[in-house]
Amino acid sequence: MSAQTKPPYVLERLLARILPERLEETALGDLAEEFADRAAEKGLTRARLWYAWQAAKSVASLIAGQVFETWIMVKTAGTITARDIKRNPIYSFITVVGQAVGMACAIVIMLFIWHELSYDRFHKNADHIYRLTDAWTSPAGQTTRRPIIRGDVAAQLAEEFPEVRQVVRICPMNDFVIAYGDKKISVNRYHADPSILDVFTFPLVRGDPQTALADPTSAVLSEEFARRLFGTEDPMGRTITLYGLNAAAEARVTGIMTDLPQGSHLRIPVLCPLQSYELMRPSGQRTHYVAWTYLLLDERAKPQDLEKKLPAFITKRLGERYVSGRTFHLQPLTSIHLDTKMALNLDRGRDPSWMIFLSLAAFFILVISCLNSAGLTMARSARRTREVGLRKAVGARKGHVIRQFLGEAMLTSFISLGFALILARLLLLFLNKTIGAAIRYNLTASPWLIPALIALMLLVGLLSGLYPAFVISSRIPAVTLKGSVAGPGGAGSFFRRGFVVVQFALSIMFIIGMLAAQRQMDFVKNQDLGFDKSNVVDIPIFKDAKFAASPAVILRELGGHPAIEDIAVSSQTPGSYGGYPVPCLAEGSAAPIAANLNILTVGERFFEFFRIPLLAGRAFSRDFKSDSESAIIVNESAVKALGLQEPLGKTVSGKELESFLGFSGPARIIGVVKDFHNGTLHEKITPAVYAFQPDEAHSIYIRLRPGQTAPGLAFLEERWKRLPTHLPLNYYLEDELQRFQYADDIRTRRLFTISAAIALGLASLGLFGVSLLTVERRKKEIGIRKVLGASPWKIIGPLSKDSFNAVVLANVIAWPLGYWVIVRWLRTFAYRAPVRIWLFLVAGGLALVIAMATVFIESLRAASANPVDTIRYE
Amino acid sequence: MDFLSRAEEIVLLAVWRLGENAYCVPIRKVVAEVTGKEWSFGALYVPLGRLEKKGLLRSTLSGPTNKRGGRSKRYYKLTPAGARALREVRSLQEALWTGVPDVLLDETA
Repeated sequence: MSAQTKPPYVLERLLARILPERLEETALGDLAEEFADRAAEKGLTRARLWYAWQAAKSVASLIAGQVFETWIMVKTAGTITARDIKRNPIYSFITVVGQAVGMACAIVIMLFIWHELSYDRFHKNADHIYRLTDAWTSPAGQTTRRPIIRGDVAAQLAEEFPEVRQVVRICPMNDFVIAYGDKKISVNRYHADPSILDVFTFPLVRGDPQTALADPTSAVLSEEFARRLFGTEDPMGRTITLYGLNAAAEARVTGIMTDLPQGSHLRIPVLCPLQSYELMRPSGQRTHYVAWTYLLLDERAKPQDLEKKLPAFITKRLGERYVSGRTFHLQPLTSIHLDTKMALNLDRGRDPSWMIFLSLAAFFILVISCLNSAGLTMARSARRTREVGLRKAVGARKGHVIRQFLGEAMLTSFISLGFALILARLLLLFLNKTIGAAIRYNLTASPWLIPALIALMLLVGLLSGLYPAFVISSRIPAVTLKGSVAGPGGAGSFFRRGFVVVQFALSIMFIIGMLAAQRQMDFVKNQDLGFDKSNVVDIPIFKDAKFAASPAVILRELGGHPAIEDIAVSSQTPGSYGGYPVPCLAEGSAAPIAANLNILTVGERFFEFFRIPLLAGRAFSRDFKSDSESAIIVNESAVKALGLQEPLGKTVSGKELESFLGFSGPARIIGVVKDFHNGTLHEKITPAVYAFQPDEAHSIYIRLRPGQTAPGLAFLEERWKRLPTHLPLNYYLEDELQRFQYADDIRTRRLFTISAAIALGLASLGLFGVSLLTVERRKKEIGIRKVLGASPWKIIGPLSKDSFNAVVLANVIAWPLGYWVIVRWLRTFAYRAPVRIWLFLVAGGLALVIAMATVFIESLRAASANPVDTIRYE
Repeated sequence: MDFLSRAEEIVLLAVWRLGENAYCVPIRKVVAEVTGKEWSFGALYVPLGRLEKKGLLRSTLSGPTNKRGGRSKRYYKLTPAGARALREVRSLQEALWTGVPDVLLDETA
């Protein structure tokens, strides 16, 4: 037979697919034969047409048949599920609650991840905007990546490279005061090129984007900030005052910007032109300021190509010295938010490890909830073996039973999804609060969210239905119909116990994490930092340079109230900043040793105020004029690092050290202080050098007398008005500040706590359901035992033995895993609370107590039931 | 015994008439000749399958042929019960027709 007379291959394969197996061989053969006859008789084309027609008819009837059959299946499955729910409300409730919680977690995490990944995508040019960054490798080999570039580079780039369509320089002035009339608000102000309104999608509700920033004295406010500053007044055309470090400038409101969507790394309440920024800088720095520089590239331009040409260009324009040790990079706008390794980012960013942690937590919780419903279905199936047996006896095949159980699982997961959507709303509020995000509950935010939800539903249905479906469907009807159920030792019960073990192992892991994080945070709180921050109020004042340089006025006006125990002005807050490392050389010792020292500047009475003990020498004082010209105080670690035996009076030299401190020669050590924590406990205590800067304060520190906080603060409020500054009174209690420094760690702890609570809750819910069923199945046995004189404890014992063993086994699995997790997290701290065995014991014990309580409730009920009721009916 | 449906009756008859050569392709031809209508294969498989279930037909698979793309034929053969069923159909028909005057037939025709 020639190939010509073979039926069309595609159609034949199609038919082979859809024909029932029994018919496939003969029917295809028949069709092929008829096709050959027709081809010989009437020609190939007509034969093909005929074949196609036959195929079409078969497909049509097949689809009709399938739809009908499916409808019948869905209908019966629906009826059976509805009956099942009615008959077993508790199990159905447990299943649905479990699945809904698991799904809600997954939904919230999906929203969270979508939110984080979609940062800055709302800009129309999002794919063509790049941020210019530099990476500087110090001679010591440390690389610092920064997004700031000298302000004059931008214009030259645009001139030189045609593919750079537009450039935007942005200079933030964070927390500077803006005043309108009597109202003063500290706010983040951004000075930028007018092209910002063109390159980025920052639509104006009032004003013309073409001219809004054209005038040097213009200002564009966000809707929200305009409301804060002006209330109900119309802001357009009004004059406001912008404060800088040393100067202030008037500006006119020329535009109102719509409030930005949450997913923007630039959050701009006030936007001003760059000219007003230049005006507010000391005259020497007007041209050499640095700016966050963004480029809008041509759609066809390749950023990699441009990146290659940058170093040569910058060398040419800025000189060899500026470029040495540096490389320049173009960072896509959309990846800025997740790049937390970059110094000096304009937003806090989001460490991608958060997403991994949250996804894992959500995944585990989802697994627990699926195991829950799978375990329950398994356990419950014991009561349905007769139904399944009957089905099989009247001709249902294995596939039918599998499909029925899967269908039911799907229906349940569909119902759960409904509840999950409601639950997710609440959970999202919680998550937002915990991790300090503002994610909106918007399921249509992304086109893939709805399909993802459907996939989630199917996944949950499959995970919780697949295993039971296969186990149940393979039971032999002759056995199940006789009424003997897969006994307590069957394969089903092995897996059911396995489920309990996995669930509790995950829960215990979360509890271990929670306890370890709690312990570490307590450790951080109670650790002796080497300085005394109790009852200290911190008032940052560096935003007003003139005021900050007049400590005498401050001390005179604010001191002397009975509620105030002590007051100091300094440029350094202990416990907040580790310092700036520079290489130094000690002299006077036998052999000079180079060491990296961290430079910090402090004000008068700094050590005295924070009660940091001096081990040798004296503290800085205004009485010695040379103190601010050449004197330094070092800590113990620095003495060790420099290898000094007799540190007092020795000199320390280093080009960077001297230029940083403005010294004209080597620095002389006048005192040694005890080591204290300059930075957070994430960092080790480093060798440090303290220099005296009495007239350049960062903050005013006030120690209130214990119990006198309210009158002390009231006094400050009242006196503040007399001080020669435009700054409003903003203060932090030092304890608050610490909470702020460890915000991320506190969040980690909270997430562990929430995850542990949800996981444990779900796991015990599942255990409750399973034990309910065990008890019910063994009702008669219990009754007979009681009749024969067993005490309630004798009955509870064997009932809870299984669960007890399962949770103990879970501990064995969870401990090493939990240990690994917490050790990894604790490694981010230089000083950590030791991991103790009791952490694990408590976590395991907690899980065990909860599991046992769950089982006991049921067993106790069974044990106290009247045997007459349980064994009567036979 | 159940009555045969019309389609079953026709198919059963065709199998009987074809004797040793009764598989789907010729069956379809015979049926088409007798009824004057094209029958799709699908329309044949259903009554054939049902007749087999009722025990009126028996089927065997033959060796594959080249013309059929290497697929085997399913040959059908009447069982004794099938033959009996055909006879019963015929006698039933004859019994029904006995005594109907030819005049009536002409008028209705």
